[in-house]
Amino acid sequence: MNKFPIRMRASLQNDPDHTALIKVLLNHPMLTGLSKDEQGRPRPAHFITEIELSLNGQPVARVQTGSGIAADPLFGWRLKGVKAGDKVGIAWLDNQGQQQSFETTAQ
Amino acid sequence: MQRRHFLAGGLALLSAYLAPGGAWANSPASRNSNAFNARSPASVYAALGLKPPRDSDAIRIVAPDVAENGANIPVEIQTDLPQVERILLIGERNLFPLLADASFNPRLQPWFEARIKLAETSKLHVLVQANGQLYSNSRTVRVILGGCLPG
Repeated sequence: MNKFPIRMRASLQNDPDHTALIKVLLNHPMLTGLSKDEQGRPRPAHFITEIELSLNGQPVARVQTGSGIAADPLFGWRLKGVKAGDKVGIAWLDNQGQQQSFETTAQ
Repeated sequence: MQRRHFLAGGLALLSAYLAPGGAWANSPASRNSNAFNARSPASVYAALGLKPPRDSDAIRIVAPDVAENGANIPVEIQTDLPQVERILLIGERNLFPLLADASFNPRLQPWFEARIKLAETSKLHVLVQANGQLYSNSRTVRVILGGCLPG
């Protein structure tokens, strides 16, 4: 399990669509499988494959990712129809079956 | 065979137990691994069954003209196309060109942000599926230090 917490913000934009700007910073090495360690041994591929954004427990967006996403990935969405106090959640799954999730409150 | 099924079932139960109520308690939507393992943009298109897209200036790509480090390139996508259903990012000269395949729906503004790796100077292609049609635009990013081999 990943000991570093996910960092996420959901900032209401005060616009007619009630948009929240959502920024998520995940902690993950995102290894392509092409690199080598200090001893020259290949480092196995290890990257996030699925990310799901949810609002009050309901999935609202999904991204499938490959190893071409930068390490410690940052993602941003603009989600409509968000009120102050709504719960915005994020979850990821990687190619080794590890997973992590997090929830924050829109404000 | 039966033993294998038993073990797999046990693992699934275990992971469900470790992540109670987690998003992945059920298996995720099917992933097109062939598309992510494809080694050219043409094979990505073929694996995803995409028709040739139409060029569109309505897709705006914000990315640096020159990236000192190809391992972490900020990209913002915005489009005026109505009814955006999907946004795909493809790094033309990466060993694995398909970077991300993001689903969209009317609850989201047609905007997306990510940080990507580019192995070398190349075009970044952005495909947008909107109202059943596929559109694309691209932008060249000059990469000083390649971003794939170290990571």
